[in-house]
Amino acid sequence: MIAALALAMSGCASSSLGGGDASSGPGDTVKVMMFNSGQAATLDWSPAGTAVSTYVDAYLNPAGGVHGRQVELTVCDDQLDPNKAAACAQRAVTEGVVAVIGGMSINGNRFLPGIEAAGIPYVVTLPLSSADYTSPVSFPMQGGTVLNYSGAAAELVRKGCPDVGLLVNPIATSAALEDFARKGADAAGGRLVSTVAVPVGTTDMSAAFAKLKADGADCVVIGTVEQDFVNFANYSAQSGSPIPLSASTGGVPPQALKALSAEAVGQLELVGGSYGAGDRSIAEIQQYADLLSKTHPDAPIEDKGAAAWGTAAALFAAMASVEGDLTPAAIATALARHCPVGTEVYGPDVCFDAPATSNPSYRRTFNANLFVYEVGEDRSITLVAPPAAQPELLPT
Amino acid sequence: MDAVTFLLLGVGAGALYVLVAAGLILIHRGSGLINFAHVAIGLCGAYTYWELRELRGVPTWLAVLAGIAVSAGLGAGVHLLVMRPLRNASPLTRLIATLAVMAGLQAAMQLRYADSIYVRVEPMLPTGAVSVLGVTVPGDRLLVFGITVLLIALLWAVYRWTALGRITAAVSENLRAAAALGLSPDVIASLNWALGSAMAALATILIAPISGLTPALATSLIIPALATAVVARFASFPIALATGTLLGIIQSEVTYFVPVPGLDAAIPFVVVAVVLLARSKPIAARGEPVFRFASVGTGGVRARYVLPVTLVALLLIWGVVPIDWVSAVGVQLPVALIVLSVVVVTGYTGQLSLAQFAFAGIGAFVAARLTVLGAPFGVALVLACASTIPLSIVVGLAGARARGVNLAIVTLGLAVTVEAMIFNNPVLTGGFDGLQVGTPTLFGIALGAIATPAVYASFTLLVFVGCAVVVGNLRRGRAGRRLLAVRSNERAAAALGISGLGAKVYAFSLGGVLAACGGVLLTFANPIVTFGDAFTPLRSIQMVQEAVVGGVGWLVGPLLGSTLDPGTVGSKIMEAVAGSPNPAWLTLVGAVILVVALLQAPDGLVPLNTHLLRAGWDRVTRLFGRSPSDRPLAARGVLGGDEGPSRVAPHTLHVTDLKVRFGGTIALDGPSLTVGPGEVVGLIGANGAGKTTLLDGVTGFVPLDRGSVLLDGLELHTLGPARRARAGLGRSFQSLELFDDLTVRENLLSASERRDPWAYLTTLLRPGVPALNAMTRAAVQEFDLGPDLDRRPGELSYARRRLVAIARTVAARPSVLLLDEPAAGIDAAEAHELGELIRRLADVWGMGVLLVEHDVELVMRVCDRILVLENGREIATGTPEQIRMDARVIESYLGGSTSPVEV
Repeated sequence: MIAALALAMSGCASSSLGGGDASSGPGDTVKVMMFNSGQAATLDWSPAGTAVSTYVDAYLNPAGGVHGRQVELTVCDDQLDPNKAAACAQRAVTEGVVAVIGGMSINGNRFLPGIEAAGIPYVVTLPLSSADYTSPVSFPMQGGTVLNYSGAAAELVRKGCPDVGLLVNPIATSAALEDFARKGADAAGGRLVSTVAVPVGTTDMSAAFAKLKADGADCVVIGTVEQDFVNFANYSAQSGSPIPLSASTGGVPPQALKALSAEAVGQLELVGGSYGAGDRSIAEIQQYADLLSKTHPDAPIEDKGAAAWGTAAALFAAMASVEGDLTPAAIATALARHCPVGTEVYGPDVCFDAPATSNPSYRRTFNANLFVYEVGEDRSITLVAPPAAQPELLPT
Repeated sequence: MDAVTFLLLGVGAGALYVLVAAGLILIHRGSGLINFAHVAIGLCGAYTYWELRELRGVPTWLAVLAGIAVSAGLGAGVHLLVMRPLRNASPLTRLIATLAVMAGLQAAMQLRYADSIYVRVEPMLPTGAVSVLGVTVPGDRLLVFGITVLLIALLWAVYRWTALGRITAAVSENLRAAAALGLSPDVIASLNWALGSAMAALATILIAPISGLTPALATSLIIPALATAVVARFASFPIALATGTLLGIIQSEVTYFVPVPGLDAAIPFVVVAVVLLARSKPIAARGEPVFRFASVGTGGVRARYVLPVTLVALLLIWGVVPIDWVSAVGVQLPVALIVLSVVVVTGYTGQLSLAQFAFAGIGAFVAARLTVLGAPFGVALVLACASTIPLSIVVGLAGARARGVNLAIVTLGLAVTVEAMIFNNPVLTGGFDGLQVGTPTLFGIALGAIATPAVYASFTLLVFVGCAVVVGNLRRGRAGRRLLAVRSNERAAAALGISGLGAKVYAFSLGGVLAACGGVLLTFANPIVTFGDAFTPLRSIQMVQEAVVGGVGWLVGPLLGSTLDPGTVGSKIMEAVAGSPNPAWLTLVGAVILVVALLQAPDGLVPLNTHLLRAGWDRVTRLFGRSPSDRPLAARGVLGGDEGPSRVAPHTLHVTDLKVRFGGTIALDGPSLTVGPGEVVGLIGANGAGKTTLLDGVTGFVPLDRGSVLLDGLELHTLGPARRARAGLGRSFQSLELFDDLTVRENLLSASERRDPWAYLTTLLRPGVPALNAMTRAAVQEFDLGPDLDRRPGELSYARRRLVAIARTVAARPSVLLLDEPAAGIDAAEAHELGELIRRLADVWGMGVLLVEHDVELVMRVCDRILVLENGREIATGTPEQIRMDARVIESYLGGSTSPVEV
C-alpha cells in the first residue's frame, strides 16, 4: 500500500506540476486548460475535449499558435465529481495557465471561485451553474440553462400550447428551472400552470403525468435527469393522449434520444444555444469536421464537439488580439472588448461587451440566441428555424 | 374522482415494489441476508431479455426464460462465491458485500450497454387505457398488479405448503438444527438465491416497459422495495403485497394532493419508520438473536507514534507531495471524519445508521447559513456540530426501539426526508445560486482550499487527528465500555445498570457531531456551497461501506476506508496506476477489490494488517528468546490488593402477586416472595413453570400485568431494567449473555464502574486507567479468574464462562442477586463448588440470592427457603426440608412418587 502510494506520487511529481508563471516571455509555450465533464457514465462530454485538443494540435499550433507561441493545452476532466472539479481549478492556478476553456460541467461553483481569485478568464461552451453566470472571469458562449428552459417553455406556447407544465427532480438547483420556464411562458403569452417534482429514478411516471394534466398542462417542459426524461416522454406517448414536450439539448444525451419511442420523438422539440454539427454551412463546423476526420477518423462529428470548437475559436481569437504579454488579465480584457467574437457556431453577433440582461444573478449572459430543433426518426436533431436573439426570455 | 385516479395509478407503482420485495424476502428467508444487489441481479436478466428479444430477434418467451436463467445463475453464483464464504462474517460485512456486488454489476452493465444506457422495452402486455370505477388508467399497470397478486399468492402457497417452504423455514429459524436433520443450509440458500434472483429478473422484465431499463434502477428501485420487505419482516408475502401497494398509493396521492417537492419520496419512509417503531420493543426480547459484530480495536493512541506521524504528514503536505495530492488530502480527511462517526455509532455501539452523511449535510447547511449571516468560521463550525445533537437524540430514541436492519431503514428514511425537506429546498439552501460562504478564516489564518490547499489540508489533518484521539479516549474509557456492552448484548448491559437508551443517544450525538464537522470541512473547501445531489442517502450507505472496508471498530479504519471516495488520495493512486479510464471501469475494479477485501478481511483491512504486524512482531520477539505472553499478569495490572470482600448494602426484595401475560397466555399468575440480605431463596419448577419469566418480571425485562416489586421501600416495578439494576438488583442469564467482544477484565469493569452520566463527557478527554475496584478484585479472587482476565469469553470453557457471568453480576455489588440456572452445563464437582460459592456470597458478602435451578441437590443444599412454581402459580413455599416432604411438589416436580425425596 505504502509502496504503491510512493510509486504513484513519484510518478505524479515528475509531471509538470508546480508553481507557474502566467506571463512568460515570447518563445515559450502558453498554457491553456480545458475544464470538462467527459467520461461520466451518462453525460459524456468528452467529444468537446477531443474537439478542443484537435483545434490546438491540428489547427492552431501548426498555424503558428498565438503570438508566435505554441499553445500547451491540458484537458482536466472532472467526471462530474465536485472534488475533481476543485482540483482542476487548483491545477490551473498552480500551473499558471492564462485562460480556461469550458466544455460542460455542473461544477462551476466548485472551480470558478479558484480561477476567479487568480483572474484567469473562463470561456465556457454551456453555462450551467450560478457561478458561470456571475463570475467576472466567466464568458459564456450561449444562454445555457437559463435561456434553454425559458426558451423551451416559450416555444411550446408559440406552437399553440398556452398552458405549460414543468417536470423537474426535487433538487435544490432544479427549483430555478421553474423561474426560467415561467419567464419563457409569460414572455410568449402563455403561463406555467403546474410544476411537478419527481424523485430521481421514478419508475412509473403515470402519476406525475396525471398530475400535470389534472393541473391543466397541455404540454410539458422536461427538466429532469435523463432517466426520468426518457420515462416521462415514453409514458406520454403511450398514454393515449400524448402531449407536446420540450427540453434542453444540454440535458438530453444521444443515448436518451435513442431510448425514445417513435411516438415520443414526434412530440418532442429541443432547445439549445448553438448550431448542430450537421450544419456544414457554418465555417467553424466545416473546419472542425475536416480536421477531426483527418486526425480522429473514427470519432463522430457531433454537436458538443462543434460547439466546443467554436468556443476555442473565440478564445484564441481574443488572445490573438492582445497587445503585449498574454496575461490572464490582458486576455480577459480582450475578451470583454472583442466584438463580435468571430464564431458563427453560436449564431450571429456574439459579443462579450454588454450583458443581455440586467438581472444581477445572470449578469454574465451575453448571448441570447436561441436554437430550436426537431428530432428526426434517426434521432438526429435538425434546426427548425434560423436562430434569433431573444433577450426577452432572460430573467430581468 | 381524482383521488380514485391516483389510487389506481398508485396501485400500479406499488406492484413494482411488491415484485422486487418478494424476491428480497425469498433470499432473506433462505439465507438470512438483505441483498442490496437484488435489483442489479434482476437487471442483468432484464437486459439479457431485451438484448435477445429486441436486438437478436429471439422469441419473447425464450428471451424471458433466458433472462430469468441468467439472473438465477448469477444469484446462485453470488451466493456461492461471495456470501457463502462470508457466512461467519458479521451481518454488516455481508450487507456491505451485497452493496459491492450491486456497484460492480451496475458498472458492468454500464460498460456492456454503453450505447444503451437508457433502453425502452417494447411492452409484452396491452397498454391501452381502461376504465375502472369511472376513471381511465393505463391497462398495463392493472395487469402488472394482477400478475403481482397471482405471483404473491403462488409464493405464499409454495412456502406454506410445500417441502421447499418447510425446509426454508427450518433453515431460517435454526441453521444448526436444520443441518442436524440432514438439510444442507448451503443448498437451501443457493436454491433460494436462485429463486429470488429469478423473481428479480421476472420483476424487472415486467417493470421494464414501464420504467425503461437503465443500470440506475438498481439503486432507485431497491430502496422502496427494501422498505416494503422490512415492514413484511422479510417473511410475509401477503404483508409485502399490502405494504408495497400502500406505498405506491401514498406516493401517488401525495403527488396530487400535497405537491411539495420530495414529499412523495419521504412520506413512505416516515410511514415505514412509524410502523417499525410502533412494533419494536424497548428492550431486546429473550431469545432475540445477538449478532456478531466486527472486531474492535483497543483505541490506543500513543503520542510517541501519533505526533511523529502527524509531523511527517504535515511535512509531506507542505513540501513534498504535488499540489493536487495535497488537495486530495483536503478532501479525504473530512470524509474520513464522517466515516469516523460510523465507527462510533456502528463500530462501538452496534447501531447501523444510514444517515451519517445526512448529519454531515445538516452540519454543512447550518454552518453555511450562519456564515451567510456573518458568523466567523470557528463559531459556525462549533454551532454546526452542536446543531445535530437534537436530531441525534431523536434518532437515538428511535434506536432504543428499532434494532439492526429496522434501525437502518429508519435512519435511511431520515436521510431521505432530510434530503427532501432541507437539502432540496431552494429557499433554505439557496437553490441555483447556493450559499456564498467565501474563504473560511480561523484565528486570522485564511483556510482557502483552492488558494492555499496546504493550509486547508493541514487544518483538516489536525482536526481529524484531534477527533481520532477523542474517539480513542472514548474507546478506552468507561463510556466506551458502556457502548461496547450495549453493542454486545443489550439485555445483559441493562441487567448491569447500563442504559441502552443513554448509550445510543450518546453515540448518535457524538457521531452526529463528528459527521457534521466532516460535512463542514468537506463543503467549506469551496466558497459557494451548493446542495444539489451532494448529500444523498446513497452517500450515507457509502460511508458505512468505507467504514467496514477499513475496519468499522478501528480508529485508523476511516483513513483507509475513505480512500474509496472520489477525489481522495485513493483516486489519485488509481489515476496514477490506471490513468483516467471510464469511471465505470474504476467502479467495477473497485467493487471487485472490495469483495476480495471483504473475503480476505471481513473485519476490515486495518485489523488484518494489525494482526499481521503483531504476528511479525511476536516472531521477532521469539527470536530473542522471549515469549510475548511471558509477561506476568500482575505486570499488566491485573490484580491489585488482596483485600477481602466488603458486605453489600443490605436491602430486602419484596415481590408480590406478579402476573405476566404473553398475548393470551398467562405465564405468571400471582407468586410472591421475599429475599433478605444474606438469604438464599430457591425457585424451582418444571420447564415452562414461569421461573425465568419471574426473574424477567422482577428485573424489568417483561412488563407486569399486575403485582409489585419493591427493594425495601423503593418501588422498582415502575422502573426500567437498567434503573432496577442500579437500585441494587443483579441477575445472571441462563444463556450467560457475556459481552463476547470484551475481555473478561472489560466484562467485569463494565459491571463495576460508576454509572454517572458525566463519564460520557470526561472520557472524551481523560479516559482514565481501567482498574478493577476492590469488590471486583475480591470477586476475581473468589472465582479464581485471575489467569483469564485478558481472555475473551469465547476462549474459555463453558464452566469458566459461567463463573465469569456470575462474577460480572457480583462485581456490580447488587444487594440481591438473581441467578438463572447457574449450574446448567457444568459437572457435579463444579456444581458443588458453585453451591459453596453461592453460599459465601450470601454469608460473607451479605447478598440476598434468588436461585433458579434445576439441580435439586444444589438447591436443597444451599437455599434457606424454596418457592415452587407450576404453570405460573406458586404451589409451595418453605424450607428445603418442607419442600422435600411436600406431596404436591413431589408429584408435580420432584418425581412421580409421593415419597419424600432422598438427597
